[in-house]
Amino acid sequence: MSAVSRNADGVSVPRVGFCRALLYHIQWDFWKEYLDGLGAEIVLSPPTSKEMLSDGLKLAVDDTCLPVKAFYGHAQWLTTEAVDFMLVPRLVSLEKHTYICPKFMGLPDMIRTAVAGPPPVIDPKIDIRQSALRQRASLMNAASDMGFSPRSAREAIQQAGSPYRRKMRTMSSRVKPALKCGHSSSKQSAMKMAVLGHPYLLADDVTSAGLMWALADMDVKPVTLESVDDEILQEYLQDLPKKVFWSEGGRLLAAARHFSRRDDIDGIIQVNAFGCGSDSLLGEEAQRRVRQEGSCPILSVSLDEHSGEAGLLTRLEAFCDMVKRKKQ
Amino acid sequence: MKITFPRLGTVHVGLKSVLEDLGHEVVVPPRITEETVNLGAKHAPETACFPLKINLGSFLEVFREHPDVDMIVMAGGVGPCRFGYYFRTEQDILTDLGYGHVNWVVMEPPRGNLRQSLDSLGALNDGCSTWQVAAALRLGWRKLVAMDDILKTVHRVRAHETQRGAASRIFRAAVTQMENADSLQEVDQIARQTLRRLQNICREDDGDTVRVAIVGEIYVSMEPGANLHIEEALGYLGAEIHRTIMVTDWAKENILLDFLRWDSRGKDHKEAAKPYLNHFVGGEGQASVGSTVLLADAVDGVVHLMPFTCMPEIVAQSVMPQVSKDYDVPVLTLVFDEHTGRAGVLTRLEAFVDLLRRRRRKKGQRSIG
Repeated sequence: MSAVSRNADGVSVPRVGFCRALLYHIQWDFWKEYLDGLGAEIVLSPPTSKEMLSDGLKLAVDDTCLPVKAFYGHAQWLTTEAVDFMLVPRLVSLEKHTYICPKFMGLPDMIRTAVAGPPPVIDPKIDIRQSALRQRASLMNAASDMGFSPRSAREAIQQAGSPYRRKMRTMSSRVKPALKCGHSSSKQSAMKMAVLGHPYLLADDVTSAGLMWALADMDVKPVTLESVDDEILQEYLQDLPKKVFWSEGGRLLAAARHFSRRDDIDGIIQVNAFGCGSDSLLGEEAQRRVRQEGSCPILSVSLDEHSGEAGLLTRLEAFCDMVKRKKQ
Repeated sequence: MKITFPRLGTVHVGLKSVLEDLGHEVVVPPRITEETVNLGAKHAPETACFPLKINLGSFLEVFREHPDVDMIVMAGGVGPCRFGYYFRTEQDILTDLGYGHVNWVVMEPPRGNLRQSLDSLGALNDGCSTWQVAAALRLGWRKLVAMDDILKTVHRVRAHETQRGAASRIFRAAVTQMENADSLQEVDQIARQTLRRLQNICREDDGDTVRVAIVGEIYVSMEPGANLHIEEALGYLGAEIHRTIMVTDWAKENILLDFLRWDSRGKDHKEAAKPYLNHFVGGEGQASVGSTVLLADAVDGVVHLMPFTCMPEIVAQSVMPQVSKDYDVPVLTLVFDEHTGRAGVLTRLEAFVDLLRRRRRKKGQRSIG
């Protein structure tokens, strides 16, 4: 079924597909090292396009959030690329005693059901709640399912580093700088705004309706939570009445409090996908806490497939104008 | 202390009994109505899930009538389902609305933190001896078990009742009687009487009864006010109901025996779900899939209930088409929130039951032929 590709020694290697969506934006570097270590040929889907998104919309259940729908579109794209396997890791938790969204936990199963005639879905599990040994076993099994020898699997895991030991937020080296430094603007930015949202939403120009670029056009320098030290976030998280059991949502909540206390931040823009479970509760809590902190203006934007870019722009402009007036 | 708690199916029958026996004054929230839902939706975050909105509305209704209620008892959780975070959100909203004085006793699952669980139990005990506490718990539990037995029978006989609404009337009477029962003997007696009365309202099974399993998220499955009384509607359409989760099942799994990692329904439904959903996804997600697989042969169809934006059930819903295809069992997923209209749900149920009945007759003919 596949176009056989060969490595330097002339041995055929499997083509492994990976979706440039969701967890790609959280830990691509890890999976790249793993697949490189195995010696697989990597087929990465291109950045989300309108067509891929509309494919995803047809396949996914109506009530899922926009980034998951986009993920379906990426998976569908991979089925047309004659890949031997599709690697859809099952992300359960990235920090002790926490989870991430249930949709990440069921993602491989959802893709298996929805995407017609896919290549086998390989689903190694990343669950920091489990022991290092089991993490390793899961990665070893995935490698053997793709037909790699235990030896090359061991080497690959060594190269990528045990997920148990290393921080699992190993963003794509392309995503991180973009989120950290904001998008470039020709002029000196007049305002600095914190943009709070999951990286898989913000770093994807289609699902985020080009929000980061729109801000750059308005001479606003967006700052995201990727620029904040982990220790600072942890400190804010310790200070909550109940431990937040979603690690990513908790970080956004902590970042909101951190930014609201910073003098160099002129405003906060919350960006969430419609139907996002953790954001529906924690986003509200973040707004409440920011209001309690004092006078940092906050705008909340919810995105779905019906979001019109014009509507979004109008809201952003109005908010920026308001902040500018307040500043003067 | 004047205590209230979230309303959910028949939970109040047992919980009221326990708390009163421990010497507290208890306010049971009024039945969940459209007004409760609207009140909750007005103050809750827009995309919070439906049970949270109902919960909040229900508390607000309690405070409107009894401003002196000063304690709320509810369950917590450690994720990934949003339910574990409900109380934090509700606490914030109620504080903003001027009810900051309320004490919250949250029963966290012991798996999270055993010490905390014991402390919260301690907060409810005001000078009662261990023996008294044990007796109170025993009576409350017996009431819940009895109500589950009665409800299971109601689910069955409603399809055959000679007079529409008879089973519901008997059930409501049993709830009131059970609330006031003081002893184990009395509980058993009420249960026996009710079951006998329920048997007497049936006509003979004409062989045209369809059997429907109800699976899905706990709150909308168990609380009639949240699912627009779907069980009644199905019964009136002549469908017997098999609901996979009852109040006592849920309590066992989530509050009492969680620390033993004991699962009252066995590991079966997890195993059964594996080919389709190979991991726990929070809430009842995996159980919904597993139960559908396990019951596929025993029922004519499955109704899958979920609140709008429910994360675990969205995962379940996503894999359900494959289960339905592989086991040749029709699955109807119904999503509930404050905008769900009764007429729309009824129309879909009617169409679904018609479909099941036609399939059943066809199958019957085939087996005779």
